[in-house]
Amino acid sequence: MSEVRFARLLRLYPADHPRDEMLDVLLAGGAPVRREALPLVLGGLRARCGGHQPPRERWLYAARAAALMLLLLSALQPVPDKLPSHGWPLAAWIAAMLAAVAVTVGGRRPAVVLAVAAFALTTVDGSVRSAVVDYSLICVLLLIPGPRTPVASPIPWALALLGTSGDAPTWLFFVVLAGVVVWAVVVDERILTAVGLALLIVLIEGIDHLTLLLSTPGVGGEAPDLIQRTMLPGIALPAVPLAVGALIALRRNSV
Amino acid sequence: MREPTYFILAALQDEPRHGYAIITRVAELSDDRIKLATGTLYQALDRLAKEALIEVVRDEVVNGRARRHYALTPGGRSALQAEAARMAAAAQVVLRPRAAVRPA
Repeated sequence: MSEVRFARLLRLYPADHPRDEMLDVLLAGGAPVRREALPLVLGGLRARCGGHQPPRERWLYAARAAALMLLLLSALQPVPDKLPSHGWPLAAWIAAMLAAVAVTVGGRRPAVVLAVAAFALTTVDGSVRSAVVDYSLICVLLLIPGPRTPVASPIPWALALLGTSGDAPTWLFFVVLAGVVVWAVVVDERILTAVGLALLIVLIEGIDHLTLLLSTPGVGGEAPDLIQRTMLPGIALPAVPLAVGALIALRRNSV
Repeated sequence: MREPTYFILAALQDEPRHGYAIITRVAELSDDRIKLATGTLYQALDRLAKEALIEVVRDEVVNGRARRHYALTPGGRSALQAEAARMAAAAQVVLRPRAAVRPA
């Protein structure tokens, strides 16, 4: 009976894991399923979430996941309710969505080409300055070379869709963010690092927005006050997830 | 080095062992203080193999199931000895006979 239950739990591990050998150890030990279940579940989830990856590849995955979130945010944010129907905005939207798909399946080069296209098209269109800044920084994230790194997790998609949904209540956003933190601590810190990197780019975009405000006649006077109020949270928002993600990665990789 | 890792490496210092033999040897060496769950053991073995501290030296099939034997690499042996020396030096600080304190 316990053999069936152990075998079921071991299916959580990727196929290239020594599942057969682990089953042999579990049966030889004869420990009750309830004692072995939690470490098996955690081990299986961690193995599926790049448990074998060295630190550099974990950061690379986080950079790709951040690019994915930002592509979706940039493509969906300006018009969450109605998508662009023609012209440059539609072409940029298509390029950004295709780039997001390319990142998801691990095609970095097509993703870079498509992100550059989205950047060029939004620059020509010129109506959404924040998207121009975002796409340029997304290109930087995607230019980091490295092994093929698909971002198969549904979490970046869920976070981006939640971030652009006008109807979602604020508490839901914080609940999801808390879920990401718990997921990071228990299983996989890469998404938390990705959230930190994405927020860092949002911060850069915010700084660009403030410099624009400063140079706008009549509005510029409010900018220093705005800078004072938003400086600390603006810096803390990306810094905290990046620091926590880095600490967890460090701990997870120590023997 | 974490304590379970230390005992896993210590369990392999005399001879290569398979998964279940490592669990029993770790329990024996730690006076039953460390009882490794299988999931925990294989996460550690994965990490140690990635760090090239252990290696698989033999594959066999027992009762129709694969069984691999793990052994220390030279790097793993030196890491284990370095950790043991570090702990011995730290223990020495507390356990060595103290010099008589002269009254002021």
